[in-house]
Amino acid sequence: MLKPTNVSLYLKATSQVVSNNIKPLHPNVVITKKLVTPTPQLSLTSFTLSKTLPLGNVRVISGPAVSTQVRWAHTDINVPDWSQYRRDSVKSSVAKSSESEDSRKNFTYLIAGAGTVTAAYAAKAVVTQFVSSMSASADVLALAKIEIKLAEIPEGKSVTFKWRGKPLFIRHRAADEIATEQAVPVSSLRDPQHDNDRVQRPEWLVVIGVCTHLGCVPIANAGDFGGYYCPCHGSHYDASGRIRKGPAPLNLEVPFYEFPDETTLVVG
Amino acid sequence: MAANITKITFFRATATRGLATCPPVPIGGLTEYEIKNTTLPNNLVVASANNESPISRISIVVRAGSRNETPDNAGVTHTLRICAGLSTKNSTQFAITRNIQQVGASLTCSSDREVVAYTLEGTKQAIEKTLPFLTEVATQQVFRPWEVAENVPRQRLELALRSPQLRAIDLLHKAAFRRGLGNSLYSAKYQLGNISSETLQHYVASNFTTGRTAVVGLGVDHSQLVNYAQGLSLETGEGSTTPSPYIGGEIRSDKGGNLAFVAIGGAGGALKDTKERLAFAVLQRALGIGPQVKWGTTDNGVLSKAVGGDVQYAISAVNASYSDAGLFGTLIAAPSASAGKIVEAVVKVLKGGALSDADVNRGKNQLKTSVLLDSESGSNIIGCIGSQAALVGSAQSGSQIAAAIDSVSTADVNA
Repeated sequence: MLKPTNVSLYLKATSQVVSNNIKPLHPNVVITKKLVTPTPQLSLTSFTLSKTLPLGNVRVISGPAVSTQVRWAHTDINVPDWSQYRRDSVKSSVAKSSESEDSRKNFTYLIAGAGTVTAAYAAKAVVTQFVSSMSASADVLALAKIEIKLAEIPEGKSVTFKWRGKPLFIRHRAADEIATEQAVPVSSLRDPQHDNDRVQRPEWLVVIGVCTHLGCVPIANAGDFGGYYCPCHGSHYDASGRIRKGPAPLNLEVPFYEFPDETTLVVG
Repeated sequence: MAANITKITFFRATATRGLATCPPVPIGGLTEYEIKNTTLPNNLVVASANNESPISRISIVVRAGSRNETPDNAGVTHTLRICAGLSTKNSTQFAITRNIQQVGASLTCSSDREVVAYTLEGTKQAIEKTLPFLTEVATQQVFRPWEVAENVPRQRLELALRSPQLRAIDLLHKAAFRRGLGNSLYSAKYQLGNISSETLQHYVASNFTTGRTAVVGLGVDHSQLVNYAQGLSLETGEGSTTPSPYIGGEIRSDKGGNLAFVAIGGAGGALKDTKERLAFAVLQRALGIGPQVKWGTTDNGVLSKAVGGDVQYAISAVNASYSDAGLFGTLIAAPSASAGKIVEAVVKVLKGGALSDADVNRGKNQLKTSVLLDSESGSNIIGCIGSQAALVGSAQSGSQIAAAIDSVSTADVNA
């Protein structure tokens, strides 16, 4: 109620400089942010200023997607601070990036190059590991070599072992057999090989017991030449395993073997 | 590909042979065309002109401008214009926008103190495809409350973007007419968000009637336009228009800035009185509306000569003719230091000056030029034809108006 005594209150305006909250003048309010609009063009000449003056009847035109659009710009998005990841030489806002450009690039290229080489090595290792797992396993490899104690084979005897799925003949030759075989003329043989080319030590003949004709197993100490005889088609081999008579074309195969010490033979 | 063949080889050859005998049509359409007016039995006015332009324009104009606002629904026309293109009975806002944009047409809504116009512009094929959307947007709006509320920031932006010149003219109208024609084109800030969907629907229901509507076309066939207008589903009726007489007054608004904008006005010529209206238009041009030569600095108008001086300022005579009232005056833009002197000089001319024959002839020529230049551009003239059709009942072409201007005499202008 505007009583005459109250009018003086309305003739002046008061604001509190330091408030003690006993006599509040206004309730607390929240001041919202002001809208932002594009600034209008300044008209600096009389001509342009006169062109902005309306001539009378003003008509305003707008439409869907025409003249004004309000686009929502999200100003509350906080862009994180990436300075932890940035390089020290360009962190300052007045640093020229062209000055540190070479050192930054070289560092990056060095790291990238070293990393690529390491990765290539690692990849190669992994791939070879996986591919080699498809090769022969340990038990198969273990069967690839055979170790024979020579003391157990008496002289004159031919012993057969199973090696790599094939029969292996080991013959402890007597001295007269050795002499006979070494005296055979090489030119008369179908598959010319001297005995010395087929044995490392003359008293030990190591051949694979598979007939070179069609693959049967020859019988030891049989045949006309004191060696082996294949019963399938009648191939005669001598005490050096060379073909002497019969349809077989080649001598018995001599595998790779070695004598690691005096009493042991390792074939394969 | 088949379509390309028919376009390129055979038909084009015959078409060019046929048209070779006719003079070529300018790219913007003919400049001399005749406007056909029809008034339907339900009092809907149809006006169209075929200017053989590649762009066709159709406008639905309704007498629902801001003069029809009451204190209860102040700001409803601003909201109505902003809400053009929102969901309608048979179409969503998305469908309207997409279909119209997809064919390259454009839909705008323009509002002034007396009319609200919905205009669809595009090539003939585009108009054929999107004409139903124009009908929807103009006559079948449903004003969903959430869509209306979403558009409030856009209204706020428009209010913030108003120039001081515009505000000066707005305040001049308010001082001159108070209510009715004095209502601002824009909503008041406190009314933003207060115009509800029901208010809009009631306003549309009471003002969008056939007696207050006109359908205007440019570059379309008149009989087809009449058929289209007959198919519009609007309520019949005249609605009511309160008269808005000139009263007069003064309003000052301090908004800062380094230029002062002073609008001085008095009663002008109404649209229904042709002689007065044309005389005031000629007077406006005779007094001067700024330099008419591009980048020129001299304004040969009477006002500019009276003020003289070398300060940066701009003076323009202001003339607005409404259906039953008018406003005539000047708008001065000047730095605040020299504004007072300029205002005094201008008022002296307005109160007592008499114009010579040379000034009046200059005014007549400039008015004729501007009317004819305006009528060459379809986008300008569709608004003028629309207003004439809605407010007066028939539209006149540019050349007819130019002929009428010739008949204005110096005595009419000086009176």
